[in-house]
Amino acid sequence: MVVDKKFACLCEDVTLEELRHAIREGFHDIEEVKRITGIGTGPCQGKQCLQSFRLLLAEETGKPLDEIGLTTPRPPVRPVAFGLWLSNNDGGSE
Amino acid sequence: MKASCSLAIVGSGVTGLSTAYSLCKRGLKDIVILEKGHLSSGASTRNGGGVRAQFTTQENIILAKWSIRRFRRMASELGVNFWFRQGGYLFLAESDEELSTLRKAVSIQNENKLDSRIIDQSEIKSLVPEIEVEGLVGGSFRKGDAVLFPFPLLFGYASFLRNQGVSIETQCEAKKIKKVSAGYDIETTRGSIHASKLLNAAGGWSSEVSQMLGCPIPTRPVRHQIMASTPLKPFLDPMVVTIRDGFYMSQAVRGELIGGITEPLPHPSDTSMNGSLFCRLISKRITGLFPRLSSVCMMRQWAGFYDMSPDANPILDILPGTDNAYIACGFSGHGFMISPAVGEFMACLIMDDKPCFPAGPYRLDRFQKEVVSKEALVIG
Amino acid sequence: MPAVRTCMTDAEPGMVVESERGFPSTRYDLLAALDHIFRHQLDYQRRFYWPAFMMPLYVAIVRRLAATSELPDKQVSFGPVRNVHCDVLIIGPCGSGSAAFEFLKNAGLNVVLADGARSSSRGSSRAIGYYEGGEVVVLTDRGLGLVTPRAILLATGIAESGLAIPNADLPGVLLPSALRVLASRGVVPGSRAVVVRNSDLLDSVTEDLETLQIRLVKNFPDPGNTRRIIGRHRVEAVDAAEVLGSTTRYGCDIVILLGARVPSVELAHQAGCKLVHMDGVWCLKVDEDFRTSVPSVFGCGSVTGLWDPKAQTASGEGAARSILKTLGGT
Repeated sequence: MVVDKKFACLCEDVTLEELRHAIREGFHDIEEVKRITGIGTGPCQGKQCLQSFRLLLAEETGKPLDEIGLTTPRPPVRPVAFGLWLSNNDGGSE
Repeated sequence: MKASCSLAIVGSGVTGLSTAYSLCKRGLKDIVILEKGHLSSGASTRNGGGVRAQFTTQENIILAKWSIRRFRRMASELGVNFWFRQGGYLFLAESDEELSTLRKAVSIQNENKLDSRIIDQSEIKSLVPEIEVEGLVGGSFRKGDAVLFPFPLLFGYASFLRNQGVSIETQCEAKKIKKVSAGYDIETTRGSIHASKLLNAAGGWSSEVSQMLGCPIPTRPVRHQIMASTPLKPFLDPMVVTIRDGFYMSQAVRGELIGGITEPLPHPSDTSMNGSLFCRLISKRITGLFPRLSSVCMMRQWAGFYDMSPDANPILDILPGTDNAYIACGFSGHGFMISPAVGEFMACLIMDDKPCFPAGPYRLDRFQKEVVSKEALVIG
Repeated sequence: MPAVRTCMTDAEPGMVVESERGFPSTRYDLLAALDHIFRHQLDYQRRFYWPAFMMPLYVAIVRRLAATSELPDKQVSFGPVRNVHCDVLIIGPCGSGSAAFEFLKNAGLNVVLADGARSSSRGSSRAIGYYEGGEVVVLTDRGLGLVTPRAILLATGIAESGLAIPNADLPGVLLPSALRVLASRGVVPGSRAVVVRNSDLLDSVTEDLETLQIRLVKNFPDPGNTRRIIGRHRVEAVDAAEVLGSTTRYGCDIVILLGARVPSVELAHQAGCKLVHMDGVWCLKVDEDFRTSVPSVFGCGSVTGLWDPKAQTASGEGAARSILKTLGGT
C-alpha cells in the first residue's frame, strides 16, 4: 500500500515528514532546514512552499510565527535565460 | 550555554566542524562551537562544492590530495551522502601564454606525485562533447578531482558532534575576547563562556576575531558571486575552468549548473546583495563555451566570502605569543576542499601532537619574509 | 499544474508536450516502484553511499533519475541588454500599480509599468531582480532592460500558496489562480470540483467554476476536515472527516485548494525593505506616505497587507501622490 505523501515543496519533492525529521534532528533555523531538505531550492524558489514551511516550523519548534522569518531573497525573481544577458558592444538605450 | 569548556571554536563552517570531528576522534569532546549566524552560514554553505588537487603550491597540493582520499571514505564514517563525484577538473587555456601557465602548474603537480596532465583540443572535446573548442588551445585535466554537495557533509558533522556532546551554539556572536590566566573569557550575544583553548576558524570574519585577540592577521574577506541554473539531465562530467577570467562551472547531482567568474574590482563587501554585471559576464562565458545553453535559465545567484591570505595558502598555526590560541583561516576560496586535512592538522596542533603535515609553510610568520610560494590557481 | 508559478514556458499553438520522466513511459512507469520501496520519504542524504566502491554507480544512476530537462536543441538568440531611463518604475501585477501609473503618467512623468501584462501600446515587461546600486532588471518583449529609476513603486501583489494535504500532487489539483487562467482561456479541466481553503469560498472561484460549467461538489472552508485526496492517475475523490469517527468520500475530478495568500515580497526583500508580520504573513512595511524603509522605494496594494480592493486602489493613488511630491513634478 502506498503511503500518502504530503508534499510541502513540489519543485523538490519535499514532504512534511522530511521537514519534521530534519527539525527533530536538532536543526531549527529556517535556513538550516532549507539546506538539509532542499525545500525552496527548486525553480520556484519557495514561492509555493514557504508559508507551509513556516507554519510547520512554528508548530514543531514552538516559536511564534512572527519570529520565523523568510529565507534570504535573491535575484532573479523567476528563472532568466543566459542568452538574455548578452549585449551588443554598443549597448543600446532608450 | 555552558559556562566553560576546554576548547572554544569561533566559526561553525567546515573548518571548525572538521577540526572538532578530528578532536572528538582523539578523545577531546569538551568543545563549544560559537556561530554568529545559522549553522555554517559563511562560505561553507555558499560554495560550488568543487574539490581539486590541481594547485600550484606544494602547500595546497599536499592538503588537497590527502583530503580527496579522505572524502572517499567519509560518507560511510558519518552516515551521510554528500554525493562525492570524481568527474575531474578541466582547466582551459585560450592562448599560448595561458597554456604555458598550465604546463608549469602541471609540472609542479607532477613533481608532487599528482597525475594531472596537459591535453589538446580533441581530448577536451571527447571529455566534454558539448563544449565549443574553437578558441581553446589546450588544457590540463585530472580525473581524480571532484565535486560534492556541501550541505549533507556539514549537517552530518553537526549531528555527529552533537551526539558526542559537543555544543554548537548558533545565533551566538563572539563580541569580545579577553585573555585571562587559564585561557580566554569570551563575551557573546548569548552570554559569556570561559575556554582553556581557542580556535579562530571564522573564515571571512577571521581577521575580525583576530583583532579581538589583539593579534592582527593579514587576511581579508573578498566577496565572490555564484549562481545555479535550473536542472538539466547530466551532460557535463568534469568541472570546467577558464583561467583567463577565473570562470568555473560544474553540474550538481540534481542537474543544476553551478558556477562563478572573477569580477573586476572593487568588490563590494555585502554578501546579501548581488550585482548584475556578474550575470552578464558569466552568461557571455557560458553561452560562448556552450552555445546550446543560451535558452537554459539562471535560477538563483548568491554570494559569499573568500578569506584571502597574501599568498592564497592557508594559515594554520598557534597564535604567536600564546600556547593556547590557534588559527585556521586564509583559505582563499579553497577551504572546503582541504577541510579533512586541515581538521587533522589542527587537531594535532591543539592536542600538542606531532603535526601530520609539515607545519612550516602554514605559519603566520611566513609573511614577515618575502612571499615565495604564491598560489596561482585561485578561481571564481 | 497546481501552480501557475512553477510553469516557466507559455503554451503556444503547435507545441508538442513530451514527458521527460517516467521509465519507460509516464503511463507505465516502472519508477513508480520507488514509491513503494521508499514509503515514507526518500532521504537521499542518508542513503546510497555504502559500500563505498559502489558510490560512482549510485551517483551515475541518481544523476539520471533526478534531473529533468534535456539540453535544448539549438542556440537561441535574444535581443541585447539595454539601459532604460525613466523617472518611476512601477513593478507588479497588483491593480494599485495601474492606478498609480495613470496618475503619474498624467502628471507628465516618464513612468514604466512592469506588470507582466500584455498591452498593445507598450508590450509586456516584468521585473526580474533588484540589484546593487538601486538597479532593477526588467524583462521586456525585446530582451532585458537595466533600469535605474529615480523612484520605484512596488505593487507586486500576492501569490497563492498550496496546502500539504496527502496527494495534493495529483493531476487535477489547482490553485484558484490556475483555475482563473484556465477559465480565461476556456480550458475545462474537469466537471466536478471540491474546494479546500482556509476561509470562505472566493468569489473568483465561484465565478470561474460557473464559466467552465464545473459543478461544485463540496466546499471545505476549513482544510482540517479534509483527510486526503484520492486517485491513481488523477484526482478521483476527496475523503473528509466531518463527523468524528467517520469519513465521507466526495467524488470529484478537480480539487481547488488554497493555503494562504502570501504577499510577493521577494523584490522588496531583495532591496532591503523592512517587512512587517500581519495576519500570519510577512508584508511590505510602508509609512503613511507609502514609503518603505529604503529611500526612493515605495509600496502599495496587497503586498503591503491591504486585502480590500478599494483600499488597494486608493493606496496606489496615494503612493503616486507621494512619489510626485518627492520627485517634485517635471
